[in-house]
Amino acid sequence: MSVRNEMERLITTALHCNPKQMVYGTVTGTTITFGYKFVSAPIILLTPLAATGTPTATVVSKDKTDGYYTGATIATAGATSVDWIAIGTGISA
Amino acid sequence: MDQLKVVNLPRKVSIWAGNADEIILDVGDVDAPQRVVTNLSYGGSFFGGGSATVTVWEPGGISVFPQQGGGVWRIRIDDRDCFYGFFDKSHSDRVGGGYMRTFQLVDLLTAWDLTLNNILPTGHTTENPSTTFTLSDALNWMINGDGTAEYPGVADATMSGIPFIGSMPTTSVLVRDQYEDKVLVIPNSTYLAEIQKLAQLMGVTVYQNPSQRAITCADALLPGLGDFTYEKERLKEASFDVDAATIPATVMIVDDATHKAAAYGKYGATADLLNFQMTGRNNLAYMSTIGVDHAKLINMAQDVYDVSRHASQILTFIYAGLEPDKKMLGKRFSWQDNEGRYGLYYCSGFTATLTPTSVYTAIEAYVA
Repeated sequence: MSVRNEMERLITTALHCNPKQMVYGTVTGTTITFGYKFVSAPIILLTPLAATGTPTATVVSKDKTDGYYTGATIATAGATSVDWIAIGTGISA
Repeated sequence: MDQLKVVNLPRKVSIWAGNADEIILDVGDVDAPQRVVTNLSYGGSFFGGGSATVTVWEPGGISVFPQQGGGVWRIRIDDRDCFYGFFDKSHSDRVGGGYMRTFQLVDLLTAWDLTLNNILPTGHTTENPSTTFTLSDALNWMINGDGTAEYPGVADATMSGIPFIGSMPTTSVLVRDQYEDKVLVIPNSTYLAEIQKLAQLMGVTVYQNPSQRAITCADALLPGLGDFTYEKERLKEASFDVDAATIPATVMIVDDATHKAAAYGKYGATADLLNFQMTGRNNLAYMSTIGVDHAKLINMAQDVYDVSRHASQILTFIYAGLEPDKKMLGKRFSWQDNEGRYGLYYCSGFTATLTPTSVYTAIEAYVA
C-alpha cells in the first residue's frame, strides 16, 4: 500500500493510448475489406503477385462505412492476387 | 501519546462467503462446535489494491466448508461492514481433528476487468472529432455508460454488478485536444485498464473503500472528500519518511508516437524550482506516452511532478482498534503531537488486523 511504490508505478507506466494497428491479407478481386475500423485514412501497401510478367496494383480509393475506414478499392494489371497491408489507428470491426 | 488507550476487542465477526452465504463463526459448545476466526486483516489503498486475509479454525465434527464461494464476499465486525471483495486464493491445513483454513480476498476493482473495444466518442473520427466531448465524458462513459443498451458502462448491473458512487471528477480538456488522433481509440483492452489510464491522465484515482460495495473516483492531489477525526489516545508508533530520490527536480515526458517531448520543473519551459530546493538533487523522472497530443504533455509532467513530491512524504502510524473512519481513504486529517507540532495529511491506505489478543490498524498517509 506504499504511496511511493504507487508513484514509481505512475512514473514508469507508459501511458499508452491509440497504438497504431496493422492488418493484412490477400485479395484476388478489386475490393479489400480490412475487418477493422480505422479512425483516419490508413496507409495501404500493395504487393501484386503473378507467375509471369510485371503485375501492378494501385489504390483507387479508401472506403468508409459509418464514418470509419473499413476497406479499399484497388486496380490491378496482370496480377493473379495482391497482398495488402493497412496501417493506422483503429479498433476491430 | 503519553497514555495509550486500552480498547475492547471486537467479539463478533461474520463472513458472507459470496454465493455460499453466511459462514457461521462462533465458539459454540462441545455438542455444537463452530468455526472461529483466528486471524483477520483487511485494508485498502487510495490508489487501488485492497485485500483481506482471514484464517478460520474449523473444528472436526461440523459440516464441510461451503465450496460455492464465488461472488462478492462480505466481512462484518460487530455488525458493521468492514470489507467487500472477491475470493482470490484459499489454503487449508489439516490440524488435529479439524482444519485451519486461510482465505485471501481482493478488492472489487477486479470486477471491472471486462473486455472493451471502442472509439470514443461514438461515431467520431480524426477527420470529424467532437467539439464538446471531454476526458470526463470519456471516463463517465466507461464507468456509467451513455444510457443506451449498447453501451451500459462498467458500473451497470448487467456488466460487473459493482456500482460507482460519489461524483465524477471533471475536466474541461477535450478528447480531441488530448490525443493525436483526436478521438480515444481503445483496441482490445478492458474497462479497468482504460479507466485507470484515463484516470492517470486526469490526475485522479479509482479505488474502493473496503467497507463499501462500490468503487469511488477522486482527485489524487485534492480529493475533496472531507476530514476525519480520531482519538489521539489511540495513536502509537508514528514514523515519518521523506525520500528525496522520488522527488524529481524535473519530469520529462516523451511521446513515442509523435517523438515530441516536454519537461516540467527545474528545466521546464517555465522553471519550477520547488522540488529542487527541497532536495538539492538535480534528478530526473522520465515517462513515456503514445498518442498524446504535444500540448498536453506538459500538464501530465506537472501532475507527476506535484504528486511525486506529496507522495514521497509519508506518515505511518499504528492506531489501537479498527480504522477510525470506515471511508477514510483520501480523506484529510491533522496529525498533532503533545507539543503542538502538527501537519495535514491525506490517508492513502490502511491495514486493520484482528487476532484473539489484539486489534490495531496501520495507517499510511501522504502530506497534504
